[in-house]
Amino acid sequence: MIPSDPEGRDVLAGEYVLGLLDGAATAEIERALLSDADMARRVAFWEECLLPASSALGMAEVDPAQWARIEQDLVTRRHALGRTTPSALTRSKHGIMRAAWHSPSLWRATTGLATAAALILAILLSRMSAPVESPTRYFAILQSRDALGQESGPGWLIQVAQNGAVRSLPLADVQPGSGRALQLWTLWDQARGPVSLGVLPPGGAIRLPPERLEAIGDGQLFEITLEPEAGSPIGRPTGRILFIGRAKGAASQAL
Amino acid sequence: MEPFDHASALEGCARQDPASLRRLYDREAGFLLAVALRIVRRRDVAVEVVHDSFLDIWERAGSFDSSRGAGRAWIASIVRHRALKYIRAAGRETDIDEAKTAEIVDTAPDPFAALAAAQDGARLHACLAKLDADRRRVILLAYVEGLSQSEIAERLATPLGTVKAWVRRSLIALKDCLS
Repeated sequence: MIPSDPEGRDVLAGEYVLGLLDGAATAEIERALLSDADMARRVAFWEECLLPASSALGMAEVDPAQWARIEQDLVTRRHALGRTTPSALTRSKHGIMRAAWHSPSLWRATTGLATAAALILAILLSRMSAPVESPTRYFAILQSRDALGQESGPGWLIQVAQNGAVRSLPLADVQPGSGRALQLWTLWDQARGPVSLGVLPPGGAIRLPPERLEAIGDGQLFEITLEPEAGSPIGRPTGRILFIGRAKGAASQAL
Repeated sequence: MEPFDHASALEGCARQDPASLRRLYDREAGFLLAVALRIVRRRDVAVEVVHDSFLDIWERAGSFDSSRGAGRAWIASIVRHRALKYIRAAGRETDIDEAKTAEIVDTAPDPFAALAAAQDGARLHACLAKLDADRRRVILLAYVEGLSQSEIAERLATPLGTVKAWVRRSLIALKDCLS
């Protein structure tokens, strides 16, 4: 519970900044900070006022190779997010990156990764439309959503076959953290609310039998939320939405 | 130190400009490593904390709001929360090389004394000085060393309930003094 009296809010904000809250209370305040501007200001007050005690520690000596590792991880991450749409990569991200990254070796690595990403996509799509499978009737490309609700590109692919079988394929590397799991939901009836299609296994790729999905239609919402390991205890999403998107009928011709 | 515009560097990160992240890194990596090191007390872990924090800063820079607080405090809090998460998950006692820990703790300056000498530390030092010594220690053990309330209770040989009450009263007094 986030208190409503100013003193209680200051104390809670202070305890959060000091790192004295347990995991559940920390998670609660971090959720509140997304929408509670007053609490965010109180937290910022403590962060700023206490900062000199950190600054007083001085500086530690940094390994000169550390920046190169950070830079390398940034490049890898960009492509983990962008690899569903090679055309979008060449269109926008490369334009920005070409201007931004000055290191020629990085640039070479990046181009290599983009090619690899395009290849992965091609393999993925060809595997998904393998002739032994029932043909795809619907696709849903779910967009990654950050803690602030901002969408940051395609992160998950849902494929619904003609016979109603569902396949879920992650396009980004997602670690739900210990004791947590990803749960897949779909919504076709606002009155009924989201219906669980199940907790996703580690890695996130799963194939569900046709009987699991009761209904499918154009524009049907799919989402993946962060839930306790065993799935939401109340039968509807409790954690934040990590991926969200709508189904779209597949074109009739073969790829 | 020369002034540095943290807010504009963070705005650059939000625009996906790697040169802005590099400027922040060049300026603050040594400071942030010292913060992480004091909490996790292992150099290899502290280096990882700082590494992951810079990736966080890059990804979350868009959510930084300069009207709510200072950029330097914002990045320091990312590092502190990452370091705290690590020690809470790992369990401080189980995974520490005793010799390395001793070395770091022995050479670490006393935070209250260091604060008196720090350029921007006068106001916080004056307000902390008004607290009883034990209560001041509680705040600094939590903030600087990253100790939990039960670890503080053990360190000061004081009941947990007392430590919790001290934290609460110290925060109220500090808020009053610092505002």
